[in-house]
Amino acid sequence: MGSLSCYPPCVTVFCLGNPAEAHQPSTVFDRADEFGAIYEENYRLLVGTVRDHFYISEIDAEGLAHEVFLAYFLKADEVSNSRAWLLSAIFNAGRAYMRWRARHVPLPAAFDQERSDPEFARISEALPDQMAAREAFACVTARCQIALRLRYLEGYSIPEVATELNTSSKYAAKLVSRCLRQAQDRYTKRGERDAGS
Amino acid sequence: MPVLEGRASYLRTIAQIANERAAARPAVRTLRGSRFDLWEKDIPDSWRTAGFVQELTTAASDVLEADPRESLALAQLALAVATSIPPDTYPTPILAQIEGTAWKEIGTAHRYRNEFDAALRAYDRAHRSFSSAHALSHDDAVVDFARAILLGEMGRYQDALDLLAAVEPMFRSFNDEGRIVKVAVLRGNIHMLQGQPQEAPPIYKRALVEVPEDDLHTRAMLNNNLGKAYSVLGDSNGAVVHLHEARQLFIALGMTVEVNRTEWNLAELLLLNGEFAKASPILQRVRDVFLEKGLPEDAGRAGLDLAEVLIATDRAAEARELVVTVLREFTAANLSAYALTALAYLRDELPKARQPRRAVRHVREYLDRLRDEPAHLFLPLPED
Repeated sequence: MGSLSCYPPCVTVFCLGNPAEAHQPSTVFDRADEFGAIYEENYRLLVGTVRDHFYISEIDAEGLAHEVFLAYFLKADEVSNSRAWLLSAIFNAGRAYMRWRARHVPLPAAFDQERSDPEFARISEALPDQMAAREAFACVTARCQIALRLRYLEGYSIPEVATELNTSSKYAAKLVSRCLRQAQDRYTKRGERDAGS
Repeated sequence: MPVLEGRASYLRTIAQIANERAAARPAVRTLRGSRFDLWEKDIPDSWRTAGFVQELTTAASDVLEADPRESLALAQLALAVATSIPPDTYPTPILAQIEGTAWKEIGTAHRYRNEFDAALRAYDRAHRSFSSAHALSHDDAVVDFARAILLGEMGRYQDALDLLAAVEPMFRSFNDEGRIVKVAVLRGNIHMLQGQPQEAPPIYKRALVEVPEDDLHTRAMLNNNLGKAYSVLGDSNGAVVHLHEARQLFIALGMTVEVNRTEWNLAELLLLNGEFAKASPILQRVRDVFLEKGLPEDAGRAGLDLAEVLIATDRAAEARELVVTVLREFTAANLSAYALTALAYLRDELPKARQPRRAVRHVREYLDRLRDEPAHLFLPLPED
């Protein structure tokens, strides 16, 4: 059997992928007034909607509305009805925010501060590590960046890294360790340089 | 934040990204088709912008149809560049959006290359990126839709239908009419894949009525699928009409691989009707294009259709030679060991088979089935 046409997502699944739909800078510059007007027209509506519907603070509601406008900008050309899109986006953002907040409830003052949630027990160690890792990975070649990111930030196994880079597992393992050395050398040297200056 | 202050900050951000994209465009143009000798070089500081990443992901999706390999490389480069952008450079959703998009393009390029597990992994990462910001639920639904396409291709039909049932209300809430139609089309495709072709035409026809006239791509896709459905149902006239319409639209869109797939469907129709002389040159051309585009699995399946034509026209030796070539291509591309077993069986069986066409068809159907069930064992024809 031949094949059914499915969706080449370059064209249909995501706006930025479609050359006809992609934001051309000139278009954005030309449309700055339009984006500004849409912001002004809808800002209060979005803030009020999300604040009243989800009972969240004005500041949080404003932050969410601002995020929704940025998301809107990134795909405005595929939106046929701006207001419907923005309203749906703010509702969904409100839901996502509530889910996020439910996972981050502050502990009561009386709670024994020594007893930490095991899920976050290592977060104070892990978070700076993640940020430092990104900073260190930024020092290496493009191939090393992707290899290190897959292995250490995304948790890919060596065979998975190999598939992603279309190579053998043996070569992928060598590449990862070579890249790690490169990152370590360059990151250390950069640190010494920064300290010297 | 007062409205005017927010508006000013918003306009500053979008102007910044627009400037970055304008600055990135010449460099990204140079990268396209360069085969990436820059992989071993450092990423210049001037590239480390959201605009540059967006240009790369746009380029990745532009070339996807014509060259999935290059699309994958561009999307991976986009991810590498995004990795090197300090997290606090942009407001919250921007970095999440560009990284999610890079992952989505990586997933889609893998899907085009039939690397389904790698595609699923990439879509998972896209989902994780998009859900790290509150306002990217539409992007997230788009990735779920892409994942439903993939699940359908993997033969996980119920999973695909479940996912479609979940994303459709999301698209409705965003008034995203285009994707609502596409959800319907994918449902039709899944009926086809499930062996319920009679269910598909009404779904496609209904969708065709709802698609705007200027949405050429969706119209092309629907016509191709209608043609395929009519072909399977034995309505040759209906099939030819819709396949030709689809071909014209794909040509207008410059979608080489899809033009090729539509021609493949036309050739199979000719094959079914015994018009071997007409089918032969089309299948040869289709196969050549798939090979050129780095799609050996499709090239191999088209090759077996061609082998069937050769046998039907008393050129059995050429058919066997072609099977040997296909086997070599599958081996070089490191494709499924089961597929290699089936092709090796065919190579050995053809010279002695009493019904060689039947043997070719048996292996051809097995290769189709293998796409849906990668662990399905090959069994020789019972009489043999």
